[in-house]
Amino acid sequence: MIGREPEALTPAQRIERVLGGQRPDRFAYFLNAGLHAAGLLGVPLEDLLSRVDLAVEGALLVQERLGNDLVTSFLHAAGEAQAFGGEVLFFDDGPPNAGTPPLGLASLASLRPPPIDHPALALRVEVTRALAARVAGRIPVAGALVAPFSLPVMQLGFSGWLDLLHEAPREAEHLIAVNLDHCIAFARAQLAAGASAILAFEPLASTQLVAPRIFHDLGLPALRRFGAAIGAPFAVSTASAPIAAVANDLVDAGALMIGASDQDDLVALEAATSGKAVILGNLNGLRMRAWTPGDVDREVRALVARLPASGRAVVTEHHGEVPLAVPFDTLVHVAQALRRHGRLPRRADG
Amino acid sequence: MTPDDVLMAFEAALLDADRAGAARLLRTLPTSAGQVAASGALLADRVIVPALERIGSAFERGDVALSQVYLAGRICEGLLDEIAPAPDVTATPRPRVGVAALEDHHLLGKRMVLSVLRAAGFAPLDLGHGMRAAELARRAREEQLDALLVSALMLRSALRVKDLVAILAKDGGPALPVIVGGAPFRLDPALAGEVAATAWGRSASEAPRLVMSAIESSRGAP
Repeated sequence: MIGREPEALTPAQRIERVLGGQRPDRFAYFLNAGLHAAGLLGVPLEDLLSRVDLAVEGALLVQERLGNDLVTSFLHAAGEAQAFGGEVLFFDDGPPNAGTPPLGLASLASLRPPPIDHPALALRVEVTRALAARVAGRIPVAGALVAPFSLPVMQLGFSGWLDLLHEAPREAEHLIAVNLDHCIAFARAQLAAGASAILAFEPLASTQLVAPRIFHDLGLPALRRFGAAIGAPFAVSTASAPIAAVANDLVDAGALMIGASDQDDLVALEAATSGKAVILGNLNGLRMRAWTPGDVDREVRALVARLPASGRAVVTEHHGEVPLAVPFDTLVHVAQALRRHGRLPRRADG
Repeated sequence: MTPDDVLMAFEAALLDADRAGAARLLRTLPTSAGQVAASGALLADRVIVPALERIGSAFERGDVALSQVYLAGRICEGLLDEIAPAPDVTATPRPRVGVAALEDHHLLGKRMVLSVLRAAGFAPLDLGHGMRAAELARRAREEQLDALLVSALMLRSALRVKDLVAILAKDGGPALPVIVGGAPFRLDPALAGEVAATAWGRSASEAPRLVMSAIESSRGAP
């Protein structure tokens, strides 16, 4: 039980230092093995992702086994499409998919944000509330949502969203405006329930996915308004797509944390953002599947060497969630290696 | 304009999602570059496929976005229908190919591969999405495919390709190349070998070339 080992700082103190620009005792980390909790608890994945009690027990068990510096109420992104009328397709060996996109061009004009007590949203808010009650003052709770410009990928389908952006820009702007209202309301509800920060998944911020001009014209302004409206720290993750080309824009838009892909150069990323952002990343879960304990030690040492000397980083899996195909024992080794090699100041930093 | 000039201008129009401009350029071809547009297949081989391949290469280098690759494919698919609506008048016969998303409900990759193949003069079969390996193998055999292309976004779906290949190897049918693509294969280049795929593509634009080369290899195999 790594999480029970005594350390100089509690996870809350460590994260507070990271966010506040003070060097912590070691690099903070959050190995989000939310899906693995089903196996640890011995329950079906669908139950884990549908019930407040199981989601909370699972998140706390993972935190205890790995010693994570955060817990999250995030369960799956498809729930946010469900709130707009979509369906969630569960699998027994991986994260759910959003099913048939619920929206089309004809339904956009009358579209309104879903009520915050919609069961799919209320589930996440209640998980946040219960987690916060259990870890109050010790471990920060991260809320999460899909950002306004990327949510249409599930609402319309990816190709449907790209078609709309290209062929009906006015309707596209309207959809982003509706999504922005939804995201602000959903973030505020999670913050009111006890979340300390919000992780916004915005894969379409990556220049690898959408032409930069489109994101700058439509996605970035929405993200800026989102940050100003929620009044709390927020992170932007592109869910494993490279972020370096837009990192400064995201920081300017108010993001305190940015999620780096394993394709991003962390040293260059820190330089590009002048050290103003906390870097989240950038373990590659797909490659972790085959790691031996020796690989873990080598990879973690290499990662730690690339992280900012200031300690302004939280080590995470770059997509946001560790794939189930990664053995849980590997994650235990990663956590142990991070504690062993991630102490600050690093020897070379003085 | 020389044919190279046309190609470059056509590529630029595609990257700007300028459908009208791309169409105008294709219509100039019979006078500027000989009777290139005499058939859909020639148009595809000499203009559309090279332009899409260059855009695909630019995507691999990180110089253009996935959205530009997608829109370029969509535009070319439409233009081929509009300007040369007889792709079956082929200089080079196209093999019979199918495209599917195996146990996956993320459909952009499949859509892009279908567009690029159509724009290249193929008549690919859309085998759908979400089906299991055994069902997809059965469909592939029923359709007597020469190659099967599988798109995946989720790791669990990508790993299912191994089951698909194993079923196809054991069912007594002819060798059927299985070509894969999607984010898991880009993020872990060892994955395609792990699931025993015949080949994998970094972008949809590679599909026509990979299909032809995989079929050639499988026919040459003992």
